[in-house]
Amino acid sequence: MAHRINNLSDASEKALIAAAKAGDHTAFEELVVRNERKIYNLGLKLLKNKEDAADLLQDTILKAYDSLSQFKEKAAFSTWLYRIATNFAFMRFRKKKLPVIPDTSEENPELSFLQNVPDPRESNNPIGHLKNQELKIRLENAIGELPDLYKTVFILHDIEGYSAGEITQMLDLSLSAVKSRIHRSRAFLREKVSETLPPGVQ
Amino acid sequence: MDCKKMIAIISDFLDNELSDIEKNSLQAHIEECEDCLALYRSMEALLLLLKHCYCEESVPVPKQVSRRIFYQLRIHYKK
Repeated sequence: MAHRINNLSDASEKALIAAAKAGDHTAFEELVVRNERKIYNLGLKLLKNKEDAADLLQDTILKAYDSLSQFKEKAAFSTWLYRIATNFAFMRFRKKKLPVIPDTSEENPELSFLQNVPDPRESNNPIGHLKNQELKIRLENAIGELPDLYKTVFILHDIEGYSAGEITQMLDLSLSAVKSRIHRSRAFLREKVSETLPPGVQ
Repeated sequence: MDCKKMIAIISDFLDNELSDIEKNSLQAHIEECEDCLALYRSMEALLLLLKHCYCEESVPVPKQVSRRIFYQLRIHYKK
């Protein structure tokens, strides 16, 4: 019988992982409680659907339980869960055959969009005058148009706030591949958003 | 500096991933190149817009979803 942790909520992640690996189900469930919100929200952003996000969370948790012995603790537990979750997300992308757009080259010298967006440093509320809701919908649509791997890298980096280095661990990509996808995704979104800005801001 | 590579360079700058020397080169360049200054401002605006649009996005896992997952997990333990 595995040694049980008495006070789960105060236990360190490391202690919980050790106990969970030794067979303590309550320790594993505490790890789930601490991380389920992150994975569910990642699922919502990637899959744009509550049911799919819930299924993604469940698949991720069950897979994590089955694979726990393979977790080497080189990265945070949440990073490892993200890696499992993004793999499941890719499987769902493939099933749904979402549309793929061509890459927008970062080397295109003609990119001159959004030139007159007010300098954000010149105002305390630089985007308050924009049609935020409309803009958000356009942004979400544009993010949805990104190829799967670009979209995943972009969401992890620019929305979830993970570093490029952490994303290399989640997605098994080189640092240059991650950065290239970040740059190209931003270039694409910049172009897309520029089309939605009101007259005088474009 | 090569204007064609500016999206990548500005992107790295906004992620605070440039060395001091690279930052100085970028600053010197955009002081002289209006196109790249505009590009810099628009990239910065895009990232601000993203933060603005997504800063309150995190939602809790619905209770019924959480219950379902723990139920499935406990069945899974027995397999």
